[in-house]
Amino acid sequence: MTTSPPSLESLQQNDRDRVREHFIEDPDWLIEQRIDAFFEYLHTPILARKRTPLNHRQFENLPLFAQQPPELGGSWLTAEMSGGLLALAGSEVAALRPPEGRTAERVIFTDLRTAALTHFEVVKPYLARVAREANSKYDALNRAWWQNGVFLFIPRGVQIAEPFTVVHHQVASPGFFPRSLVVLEDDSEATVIDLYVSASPKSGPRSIAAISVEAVVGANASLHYGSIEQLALNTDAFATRTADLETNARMDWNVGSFGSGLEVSQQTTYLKGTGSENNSLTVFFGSGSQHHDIEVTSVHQGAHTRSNMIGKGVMKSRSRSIFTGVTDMKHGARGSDARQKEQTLMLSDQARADAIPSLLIEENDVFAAHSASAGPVDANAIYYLTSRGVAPEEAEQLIVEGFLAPVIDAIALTDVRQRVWSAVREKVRE
Amino acid sequence: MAIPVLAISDLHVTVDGKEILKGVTLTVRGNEIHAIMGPNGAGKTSLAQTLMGHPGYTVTQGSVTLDGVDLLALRTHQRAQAGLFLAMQYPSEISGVTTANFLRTAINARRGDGSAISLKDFRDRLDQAMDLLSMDHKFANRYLNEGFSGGEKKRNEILQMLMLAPRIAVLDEIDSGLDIDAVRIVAQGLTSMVKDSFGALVITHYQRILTYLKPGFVHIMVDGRIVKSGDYHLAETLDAQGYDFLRTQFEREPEQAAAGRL
Repeated sequence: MTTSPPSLESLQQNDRDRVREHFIEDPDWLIEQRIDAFFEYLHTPILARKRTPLNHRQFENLPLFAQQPPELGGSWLTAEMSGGLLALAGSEVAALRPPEGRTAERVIFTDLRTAALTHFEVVKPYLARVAREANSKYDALNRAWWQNGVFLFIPRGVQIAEPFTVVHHQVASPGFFPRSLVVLEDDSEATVIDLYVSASPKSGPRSIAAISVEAVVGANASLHYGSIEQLALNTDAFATRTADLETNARMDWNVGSFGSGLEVSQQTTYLKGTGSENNSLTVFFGSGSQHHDIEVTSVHQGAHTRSNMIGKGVMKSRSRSIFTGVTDMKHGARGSDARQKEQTLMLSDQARADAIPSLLIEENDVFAAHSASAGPVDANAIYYLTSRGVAPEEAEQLIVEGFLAPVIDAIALTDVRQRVWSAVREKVRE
Repeated sequence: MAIPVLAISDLHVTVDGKEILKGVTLTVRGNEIHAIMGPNGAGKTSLAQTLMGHPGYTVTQGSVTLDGVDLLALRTHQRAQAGLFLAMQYPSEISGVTTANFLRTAINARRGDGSAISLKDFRDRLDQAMDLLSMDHKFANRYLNEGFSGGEKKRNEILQMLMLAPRIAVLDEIDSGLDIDAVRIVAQGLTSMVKDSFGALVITHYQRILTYLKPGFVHIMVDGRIVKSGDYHLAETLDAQGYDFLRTQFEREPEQAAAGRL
């Protein structure tokens, strides 16, 4: 890598060779995929989010990669984690630890670049397959430029209780493109946790993050997925998460959005197989002038599919959130059941939150319900708590934590639950 | 520690510009139970909320001190830390905060020196207090007042009082909505606390709880003023004759009386 890093602008001139130069170790099929994705990115219109104008956001002049390879190591690796662990610093693997005693079972858990080379027969059929359905400009950007990420493959019938934790560490680089690909074959079960963290959360260069997660959950398989985003405030983050569910498959999403100045996310679950089930929980917490625009979609294609989507947010200072829940009942989804619930707690007059439930129903024989609410902290509740000697600031913290407790405490993944709590407490005390 | 003294002197209070308390003077000391009785709209709850510092009540005249400290200069949580407790008529429901967790937070805040009560001490005291009030121990782990019945909320107020061990407690209609057994239990809880280091001001409509408490002082409040004070027999008289006997004694000019009612 001797040339200067490319920027999006320089690549608009169709410089295929430079793509090759930058991903010199990539196999040809992957290079082709990257180039295709890049053209897809260029030709996909900017995401239309009514309340989040993206046209004026200029990324074109940002150099995509750091000139220097990132420093490895650091205190973020010291957290005690059980199960499998993969720590990535930018594109480099800082630590990789497979779960104990599982190597014999054909489980693959490694960084995505290595997987593309050494397990291409498994990676190639799945990589970008599900994500492409979501038709996301920012996933296309990620597909073109992902530097690294994680690949987890659980073969048929293998069930692993211990989580696979992946730390995606944003180093001082203006472009951050982590990618996760999780494939569960039939009758398997696994838990994956993606953590997105920055070297310097409060400062650092302006950067763009295009985060992609794609999951394939086979028949009767269960994927418990957790994600916590705590990127630097100078980051504009675009997250695209997609999952395909086969017959009787089950997907649990536990997603926490805490970081980034701007976060635009799109999470789409395709309930293709009969009897498949999607449980999605999103917790978001805005402070300062953060702007979170979150869209969570369940596409019910199979019969007797079930989805339950919960969005719960807390808004401080001048933060802004838009939470859109989409229930999309396709023809053939007869006997399906979809529920949505959105609640936002407002801690400031200057914060704004919109909850937008949306139902698209093509099938007659379905059940769909939604509820949405937003309101300030109850002044009487604060008074009640302070009358017991608790200072008003602490009373507000208790109420905020209490507001989130029913959903956070219901997170089955102990690791994620604790991390979400500490992220929340950090925000509350900010 | 010295015997606590809550001294209320010539207290005038307005709500939305309207005078609700029109000069209340009352002193409550340790080892004393005072009862305030009176018809609806007399200003009993306003007095309780004013003492605790509810933002809706504006003091226009008079003073309130606890052990010589000017309570009116303190914020609500500081009044609690100074040793005042208010058992509220309508306690708030706090979702997601368990009673046990909240009590620990409040006890630690009350300590005021940054130290924390040990989990064992806390558990022991909590179990003991709940047993005294015949409360199911499961209540400690339920969210504070959420989904509680009226009676459960009242018991929970007394539980908090037992745990926080205030110097002076004001109990606002702690007996309303309680069945006869619950009234007895709540009265027992309160009586168990009365000693030199604790005094109580009990606001009630009914004489029933007073038969258990046997307060040494009974005050009748009408139209923002204490119009008559006496011992426990005053409550009995009131119970036998109703507030009508007061009306004949203290009837005021009709438009004034109407203005005082709210």
